[in-house]
Amino acid sequence: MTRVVTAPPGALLEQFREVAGDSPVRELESLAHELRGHRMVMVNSTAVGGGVAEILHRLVPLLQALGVPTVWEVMPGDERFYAVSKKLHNALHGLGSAPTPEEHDHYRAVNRLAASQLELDADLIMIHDPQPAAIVETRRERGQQWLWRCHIDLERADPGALDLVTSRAGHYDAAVYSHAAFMPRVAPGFLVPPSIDPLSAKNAELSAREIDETLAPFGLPDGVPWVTQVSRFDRLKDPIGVLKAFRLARRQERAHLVLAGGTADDDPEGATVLAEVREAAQGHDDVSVLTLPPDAHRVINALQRRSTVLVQKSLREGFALTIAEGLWKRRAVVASAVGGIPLQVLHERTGLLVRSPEGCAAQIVRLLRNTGLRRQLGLSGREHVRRNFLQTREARDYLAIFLALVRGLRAHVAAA
Amino acid sequence: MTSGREPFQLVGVTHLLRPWGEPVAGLDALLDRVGLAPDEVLFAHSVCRLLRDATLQGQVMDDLSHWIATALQDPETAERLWLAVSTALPRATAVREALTGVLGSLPAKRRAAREAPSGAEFTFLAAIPVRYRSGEPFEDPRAAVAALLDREPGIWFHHLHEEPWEADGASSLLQWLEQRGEPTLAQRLAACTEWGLGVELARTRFRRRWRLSQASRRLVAAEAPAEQQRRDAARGAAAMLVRRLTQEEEAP
Repeated sequence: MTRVVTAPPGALLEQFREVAGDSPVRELESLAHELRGHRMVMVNSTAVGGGVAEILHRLVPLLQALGVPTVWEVMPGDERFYAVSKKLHNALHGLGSAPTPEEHDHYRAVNRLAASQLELDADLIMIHDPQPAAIVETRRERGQQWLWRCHIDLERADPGALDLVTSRAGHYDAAVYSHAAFMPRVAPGFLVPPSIDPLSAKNAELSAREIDETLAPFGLPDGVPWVTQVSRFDRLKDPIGVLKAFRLARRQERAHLVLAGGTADDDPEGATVLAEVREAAQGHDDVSVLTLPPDAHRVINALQRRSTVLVQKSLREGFALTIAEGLWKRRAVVASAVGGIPLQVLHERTGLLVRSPEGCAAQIVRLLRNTGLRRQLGLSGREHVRRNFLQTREARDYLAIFLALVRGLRAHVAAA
Repeated sequence: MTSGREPFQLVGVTHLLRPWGEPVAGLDALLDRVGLAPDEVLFAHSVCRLLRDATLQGQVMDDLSHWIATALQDPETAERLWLAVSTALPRATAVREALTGVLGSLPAKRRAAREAPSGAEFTFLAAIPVRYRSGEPFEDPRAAVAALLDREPGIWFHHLHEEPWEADGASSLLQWLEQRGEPTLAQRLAACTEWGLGVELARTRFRRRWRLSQASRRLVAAEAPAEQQRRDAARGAAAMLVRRLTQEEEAP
């Protein structure tokens, strides 16, 4: 059995209408109307666990509710295939080397098998990530439009691994990436920034009581504003820089710093960085360092909602969805102007952008002292996220790409 | 060219984004790239912002000015550029001239002095429109405008910002309104685009004014029968007087 049965669409559109507003849902309905008569298949390598499965569990019912018949197929694989695809995945992230030719042969053999087993009798096929990317080689039929959706940051990819991916891109009608920096130079490729699910545990509304109950086990102080950075312990997230900025801010304002995050399993440096952060925070009772498991969605939700100021002082960044999460919760955000952050934080409109620990400290103090500014940035930030970074926008982008594909995307792009 | 005899089909738009060229880190490189950038790249960074930042309070800053203000931390250049771009809209040639004019007028030393930190470079994007029909065509101009105010902002954006960009200032909707005897309404809608506001904010403002004007129209319409009644009553009274005078004259 390869097909995933998702939750029935039910009142999903109404739920989205309630949180995202009427306009985004109407836009989806209009685009879906133009796609009437077309059928869609989503293909990935797992039904549970991982960000892609999370996205598809919501996206597939949403597309169904919009009247676009959509099914979700999961490719089958064996133990060796998963080991090889993990190796490929890591190499694309810049960790380790590309699969050997023998491993690649096995990867292709499993993809061929999947191509013969999966039900791909639709005209719009979206393949997620590299694991099922070779199915297109043997299964593509006349009249079908194939889209490859890469959720991975390819910026530091091993060249051999990147070659395996890009050599296949020519079989697709289009490819989609989350950020310009992730895009290999293959055409036609489009940007679809990631989005947040407003109905998920990480973003759903929580009452004050639920927030208190969720955070009680951590023993964080009451009666003092929290300044929080939620991100994994990674040098590029600059947790030491956040500590430095906080120490400067503390000379002027009373506050408590919370550094919360996990160490990614695929990041060998994470434990070292965490140790460095703990050492730097030692002896400061106004700093809490929390290591959270990957499924601590409700804790992160509560932390973000309870914080007075959210910080994302990254040195480099892919997209930083934690910003969109914070803005959606009407929080005031201070962040670096790197990667996808300036798309979310419009300086002085939806948050404050900084370049140095000193700038970060100054803006933290400014926000701690100014309730009105925090409220104003928080409200604008939520509206900005409502329009640009909710799952409704991601669904809209996919519908638009498919619509462009059925209208003849290549000619359309060339004309543009 | 729109024909006023035909019903009008509202069209919405959403945009696919794709990177164009290499990212730039400073003003020198920015000046070079702006001179070469296709129109759809300038469109993505100047006009599309009105749709992307649809709900922002106040005037919306274009992407390039925002980047100069934040990543380069050069607020003076950002302000000059912002004003020049917002004045040049909606024509691509004028926007390009505004950008190259302001950036080119900076002393070479100053252009070279500022550099964005690694990871904060500016990536140019091209916006490729995907259009869709919204509902059934309209015969009544006021019903079309009511739908423009009620439906998704991509429709407003397409007819009032995107079409003028592509057609040297012309909008099929505004032409149709004029041909259907609503030139004032067309002028008022055209004026909204000069505010430089995000689409939602502009719509909200226009909606408020539109409702006021609709209310006064209704008021005038409601008063019209009373005026007619007064006229009829006066005519009746005059006729009665004439009859009475005639009767008196005819009396023996």
